[in-house]
Amino acid sequence: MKLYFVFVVIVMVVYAVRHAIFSYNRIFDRQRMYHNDIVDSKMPKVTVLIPMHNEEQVLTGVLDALLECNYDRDLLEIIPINDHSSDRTAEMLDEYHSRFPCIRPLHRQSKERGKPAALNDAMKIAEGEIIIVFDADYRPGKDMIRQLALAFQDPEVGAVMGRVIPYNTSKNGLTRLLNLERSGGYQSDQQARYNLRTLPQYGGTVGGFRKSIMLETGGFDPRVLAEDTELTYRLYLSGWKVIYANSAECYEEVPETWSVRAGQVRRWARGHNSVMFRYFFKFLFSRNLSRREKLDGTLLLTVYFVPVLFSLALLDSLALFLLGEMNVFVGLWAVIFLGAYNSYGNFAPFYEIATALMIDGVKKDALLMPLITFNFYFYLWNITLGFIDALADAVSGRRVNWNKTKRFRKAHSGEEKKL
Amino acid sequence: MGNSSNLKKNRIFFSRTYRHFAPESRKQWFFLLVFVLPCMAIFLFFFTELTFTLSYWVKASLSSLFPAGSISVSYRRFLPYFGGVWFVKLPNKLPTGEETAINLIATLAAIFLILFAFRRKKGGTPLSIYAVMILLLHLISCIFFLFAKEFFPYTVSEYSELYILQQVGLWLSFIFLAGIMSGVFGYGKFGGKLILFVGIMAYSFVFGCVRYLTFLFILSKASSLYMTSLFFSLGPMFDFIYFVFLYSIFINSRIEHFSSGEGLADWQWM
Repeated sequence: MKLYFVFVVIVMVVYAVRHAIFSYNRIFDRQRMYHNDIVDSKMPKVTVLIPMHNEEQVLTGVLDALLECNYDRDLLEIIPINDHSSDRTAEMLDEYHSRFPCIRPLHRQSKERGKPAALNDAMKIAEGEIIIVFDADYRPGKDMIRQLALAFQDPEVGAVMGRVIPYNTSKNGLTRLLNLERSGGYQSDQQARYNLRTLPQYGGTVGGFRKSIMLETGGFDPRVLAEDTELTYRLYLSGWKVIYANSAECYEEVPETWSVRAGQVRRWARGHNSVMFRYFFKFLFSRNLSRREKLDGTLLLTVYFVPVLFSLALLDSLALFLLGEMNVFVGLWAVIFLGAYNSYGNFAPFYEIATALMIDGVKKDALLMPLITFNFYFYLWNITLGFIDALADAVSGRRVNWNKTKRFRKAHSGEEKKL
Repeated sequence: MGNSSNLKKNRIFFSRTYRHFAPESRKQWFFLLVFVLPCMAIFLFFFTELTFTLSYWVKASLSSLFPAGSISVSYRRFLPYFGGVWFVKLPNKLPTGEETAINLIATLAAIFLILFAFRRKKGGTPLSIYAVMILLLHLISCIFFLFAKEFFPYTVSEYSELYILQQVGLWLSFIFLAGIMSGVFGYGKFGGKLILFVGIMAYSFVFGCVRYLTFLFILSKASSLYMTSLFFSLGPMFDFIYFVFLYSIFINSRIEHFSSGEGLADWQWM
C-alpha cells in the first residue's frame, strides 16, 4: 500500500514537472511561430464540416461567420451535417442552401448516430482535400479558414489545431473557471508542446486534417467518443505531424451549469481512456516517433487515467491512516502528494494557468485560481466514472452513444451582437 | 502639423499570440541561491527551537482547560545532524458509543441531504462533491469507532507528535515551492518576489501554529472521532489552497503591471 502511494506521488510529480517545463518554455523561451505569415496564391479546396444535432439556436452564428470569411468562395465548401435533428435545423439549413450554394447540408437519418459517423458520411461527399471542423456554437474569425488551410502547405502536416476561447466567460463562476482552464490549456500547454516539438493535440474542432489520410485509414471509428484524440495518435503513428496555430483564435460556448460540465467531462474521459486502451502499447513501441514525442505522448494519453490512480491513492491513504501507518515517511509523502496534486490540478496546474493569464493579460480572474483545487474533486469524480464507462465498453464491447453538450445561447441574443 | 508626430503611436505593442519575457535565468538563480537556499538552511538549523516555542505556546493556551499536570511538552529525534522536534502531550479522549451513533446518523443524514435533497439545485458542484467526500471520511471514522474503537491507532499525543513532524516537512517543502514560485514563476522585480516568498512563509507559519492549537483543542475536548476528517479536510491540502491564493493575488498585480504603461515594454516577440 505504501509502495502504491509512493508510485502515485512519483506520477504526480512527473506531471507537475512536465507542466512546469511547459510554463517556463511558454513565458521565457523563443516561440515557434505558426505559418500564418506565409502568402500563397495556390490555396487548397477546403470543406468545412459542422456536425449539428438540434442546433436551431446557434447555427446562424457559425454559418454567417463562415460566409464572411475571406477565403476564396470557389475554394470553399460548407457542409452542415444535420444529424437526426428534430427541431428547425433541417429547415433552416435548406434555407441557407437556397441562398448560398456553397452551403451544402447533409441530412442524416441513418441508424448510426454521433459525430464520428456524421463526419465519415460528410467526408464521402466532400470535394475539398482539406477538411476543417467546427462545432455549431463556434464563431470563426474572417481569416480563420485561410490560417488553418495554410498549415497544409507543409507536406509533413496531417492536422492543424487552432486556439479555442470561450465567449460566455462572464456568465458565472463556472464559465470563468473554464476560461482559466482553456487559457492554460491553449496559450501555455499547446503552444509549449508546439515549441518543444512534442505532441500538440488535434482537438476535434477549430482544426483541420487531410481527407485522404482519413479515408485511407478507414475514417473515424464510430465506437470512439474522443475522435479528436484518436486522430492525433493515428496521425503520429503513421508519421504525420499535428501543428498548433495559436494565432487562429476561435470563440466557443462553454457549459454554464455544473451538470452539463459533468456530462462533458465524463464523456471526454470515457473517450480518451478508450483511445488509451487502443494505442498505449502501439504508441510506446512505434518507430515513427522520437523519444521526446513518445514521452510526452504517453503522458498525454494517460492524462484521463491519472485521476483514477489518484482516487485509488486517496482510498489508499485513508487505509494507511486507519492502520496506523501515517508515520513520518508517509506524512512527508502526503505533503508531496498533495503538492503535486495541487500542481497537477485539472490538467492545467495553477502556475501554467498563471503563465497563460499573464500572456493573455486577463485581469482579476486570476484570483479564482484557488477554487481550482475544489474543481479537481469534481473532475476526480466524473473522470473516474468516465474511466469505468470506458472499461465497461472495452470489456462488454457495447455500443457507445453520442450525447451532445447542451447549448445555452439563445438565437440572436445580445451576447451574439456584442461579438 | 507640428503636433502630427504626437498623434502617431510611438510604439506598437505585441499581441498576446507569441509574446513572452526575456529569459532571466541569472536573476532566478540569484534569488534561489542567495535567498531561498539560505532560508532553507536557517530553517533546518532552527526548526527545533521553532517547535519548542510553538509547543510551549500551545501548552500555555490550553493549560487552563485541563487539570494541572495533564499537559506536558515532549521531545523526539527527527532529522540527523539537524535535531529533533518538540510536541505537546495531552490526555486522550475517545468517543462514547452514544456520541459515535449520533455522529453516524447525522453524517448519513447530511450525505443524504447533499446527494438527494439538493441534487436538483446544487448536486454535483465541486463544493458539494468535496463536502460529500469529507462526510464519507467522517462516516468511515464513525463506523471504525463503533465496531473497533480499541484498535484506533492514534492517541491525541501520538497525533500531536505526527502533526509536528508533518508540519516541519510541510514548512520545509513550502520554502522550496514558494522559492520556485516566486523566484521562477514570480514575474517582475526582486522586491515583489521577496514579498510573495515572505508572505507565503509567514502565512504558513501562523496557519500551521493556529491549526495545531485548534486540532489539539478539538481532539482533546471533543474526541478522537474527528481526527480522520480533520486530517484529510484541513490537513496539508488546506495549506496549498492559501498558497495558491497568495500566489494568485501576486499574479493579478503582475498582470495589471504588464498590461499597461511601462510593463508593456517588457514583452518580447517570438
